[in-house]
Amino acid sequence: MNGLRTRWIAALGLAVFVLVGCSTSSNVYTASKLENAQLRTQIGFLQSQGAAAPPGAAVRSALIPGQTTPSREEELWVIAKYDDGGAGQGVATADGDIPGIGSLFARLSDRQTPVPVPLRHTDVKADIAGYIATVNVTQQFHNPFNSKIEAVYVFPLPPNAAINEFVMTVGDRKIRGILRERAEAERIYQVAKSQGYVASLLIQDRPNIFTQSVANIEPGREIDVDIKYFHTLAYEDGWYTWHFPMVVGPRFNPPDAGGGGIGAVVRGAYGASGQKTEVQYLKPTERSGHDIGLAVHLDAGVKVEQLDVPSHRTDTHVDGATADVKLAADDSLPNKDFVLRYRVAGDRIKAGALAMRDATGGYFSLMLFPPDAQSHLPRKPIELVYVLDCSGSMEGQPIAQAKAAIRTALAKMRPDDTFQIIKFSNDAQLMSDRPLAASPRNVANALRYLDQPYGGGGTMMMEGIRKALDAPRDESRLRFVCFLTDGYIGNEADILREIHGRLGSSRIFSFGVGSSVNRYLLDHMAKMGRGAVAYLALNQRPEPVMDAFVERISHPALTDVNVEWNGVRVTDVSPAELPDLFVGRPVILTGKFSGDGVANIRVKGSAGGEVQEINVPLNLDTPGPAANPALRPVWARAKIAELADRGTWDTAPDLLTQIKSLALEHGLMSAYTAFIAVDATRQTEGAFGTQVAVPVPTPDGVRYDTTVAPK
Amino acid sequence: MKRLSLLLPLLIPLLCLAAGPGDPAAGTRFTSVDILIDPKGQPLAAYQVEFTAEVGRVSLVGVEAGEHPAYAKRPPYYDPAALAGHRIIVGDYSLDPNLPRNRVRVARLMLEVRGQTKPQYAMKLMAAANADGKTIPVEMSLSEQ
Repeated sequence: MNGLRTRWIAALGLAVFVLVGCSTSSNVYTASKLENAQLRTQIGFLQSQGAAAPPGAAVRSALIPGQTTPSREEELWVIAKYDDGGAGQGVATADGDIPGIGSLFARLSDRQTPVPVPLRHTDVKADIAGYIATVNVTQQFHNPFNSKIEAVYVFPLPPNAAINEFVMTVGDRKIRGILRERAEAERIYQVAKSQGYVASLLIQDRPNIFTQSVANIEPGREIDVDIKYFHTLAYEDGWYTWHFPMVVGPRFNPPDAGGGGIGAVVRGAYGASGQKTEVQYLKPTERSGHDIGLAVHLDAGVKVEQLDVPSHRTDTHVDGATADVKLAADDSLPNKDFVLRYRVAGDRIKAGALAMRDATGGYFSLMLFPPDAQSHLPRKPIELVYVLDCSGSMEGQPIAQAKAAIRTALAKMRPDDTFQIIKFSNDAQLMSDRPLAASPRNVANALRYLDQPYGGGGTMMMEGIRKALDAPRDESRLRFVCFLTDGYIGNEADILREIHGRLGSSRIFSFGVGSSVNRYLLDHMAKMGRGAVAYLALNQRPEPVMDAFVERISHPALTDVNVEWNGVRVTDVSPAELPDLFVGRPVILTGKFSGDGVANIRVKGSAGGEVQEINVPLNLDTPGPAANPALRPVWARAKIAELADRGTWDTAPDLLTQIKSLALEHGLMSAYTAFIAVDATRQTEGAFGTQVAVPVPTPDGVRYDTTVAPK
Repeated sequence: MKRLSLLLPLLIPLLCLAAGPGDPAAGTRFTSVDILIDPKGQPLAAYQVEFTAEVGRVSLVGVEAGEHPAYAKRPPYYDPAALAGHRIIVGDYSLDPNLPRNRVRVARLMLEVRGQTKPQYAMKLMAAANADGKTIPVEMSLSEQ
């Protein structure tokens, strides 16, 4: 029977191999998916969910080998155990460990003070196929104290993550979480918590910040939470980039922004920020036992030419079109983004156009590259405005790196260009009352201006935006506004609304400077500003990043872009309004389709006064949901992001309803939906116990004394 | 005393409200219901069922995996679109070579029950298949814990 089944699967796999032209390694993957699809023909909604079983779905036993025992550098010890008789309820208070609660944890080999936390380990497993990643994140909560606790953990994920699975594991029992309207999920969680049930709740605070709460963790017990998401990789200048954020940076909330921000407080200072969401930070002298494991499997479809992990030490094996990357055990402190970059043979990835079909319709994703001819067109003189974040979180390495980047770019300006430099922290300051010609003398003055001390306080980004976008325009030049910032603010929506209202014909290029920057803000500033985003890590040379930027603006963008779908009915395309296409920066379109065959898509636009045209074939003869199961959630997530962006400046009430409906229909996390899981089989004894936040380290290179606890 | 007797008519409705609609936990409890399928000797490779509470207000708050090793590795899937329409549809498939052939718990539904009415449940088979994808006859039953 098994042999028959294997042959049947192999035969179907081969058929798909021929149809879609996958490589041998892809074929194995496809065959496995096909088998799932065959069974799923009996289960209509599974098709529509695109819920393919991840290979090796039984993860618990394989998650973190050796994590339950301390490494050679560590030893276990117990700090004062104190039994409060179960009276420890409510929220833990400031300054130090949880009152009345003893704890068991690992002592570290260095001089840092160990801090007990209810999150033991995070494990990340990513599968990248082409430019789409499927990621499984497991958070292992435990109770190191001697009375019940509720664990609360604020953590980041990529801003375009389409989260559609949530599983809570209690002992060896796995309970799938249910997506509900957020208010309903929060109500259920509170009731379950108050009645003593083990329950978990996942809510979205920002598109890239989430809060995980786990109620009624009994002493010594472990509860795992698994989150699964899909997302598309970034692409620029031949490199695909996958990243995994590990820590939320300390945010600044302007005084007039209300309480809806993201607060940054010292460990134990519950509620001190007055913000709806709050992150507690460990002092530089403290260390929790929370660490991270991360493994990535890449199947590029074509030969991987280069692969690079600039952020971490890894164990990496590249074999033709595939690669396996594992985070080194001695680099497991979760305090910076994990960044993996790869480039493939030839200019482009093989499957730039992907499609799938299920019971709810057809979905496609298309990576649209700028026409080659564009890179040969010269540009006109430009006006460059550099806006430099000089707030407390940028002090030290980040500001030095940002200044180096500006110096590099200034040196590459043409004498007929003009420039301006704006510094901002608590307010904004212009270098000059008008843009200056990029003469050697002015550039030399600019370099001296950059080195003058300034700022160190809050992040009043709004001041910088207003100064940059409101300055009188020189109609003979295109204005490019370059923001160099870590994006550590809590009022993202205000910033995006301001950009939408003031952009005019300017274009915004955002540069995320740091080890763990606010990618949601930076991505969407560039998107709203019709420009592009780039990231500059602290250990990276600024020259390649700025050279690529200068190259990008050295050729006219393809503007007024429109798409003719020729022979295929396409709806719900995101982005609805196509952005300008810059050299080296493709744009990913997602949408729904009906019809079969190969659609010959024609993209037209204007660059440097010349009409440019690109023709892209899109194969819609897809074998079904198993082909690209991620496309449906990726499409729905892009649609939600577009509606949410619109919601920053459009107050139409039906936007909220549209987002909620889309999220509920496709089982996706959003600002208005949340995952809830309750173990209704057993009530724990006693009241629900103390709330314990998971304190996190400040991001690598970010100073605690200028952000979390400024003097 | 006179002041208290004057206040009592005001206080009693307030006290009632405190335990009533204002308290999210009032009249709310949690329970779990096992879904059992007997494939009568055939290997059960896939199933899909619709579960409803014909009487009572019930919300799905979790789905636990089945007891047989073929269905214990991950919890069953549910249909989010159906849930939005107040229907509970769960289902799963297994690629395990050792599939259940006798009566087995394939899923456990975690439910929130609101109000005092005791719910009455009903279940409808939507699909059951063997490893070749062919429909098989099965018997289903429920068991509330």
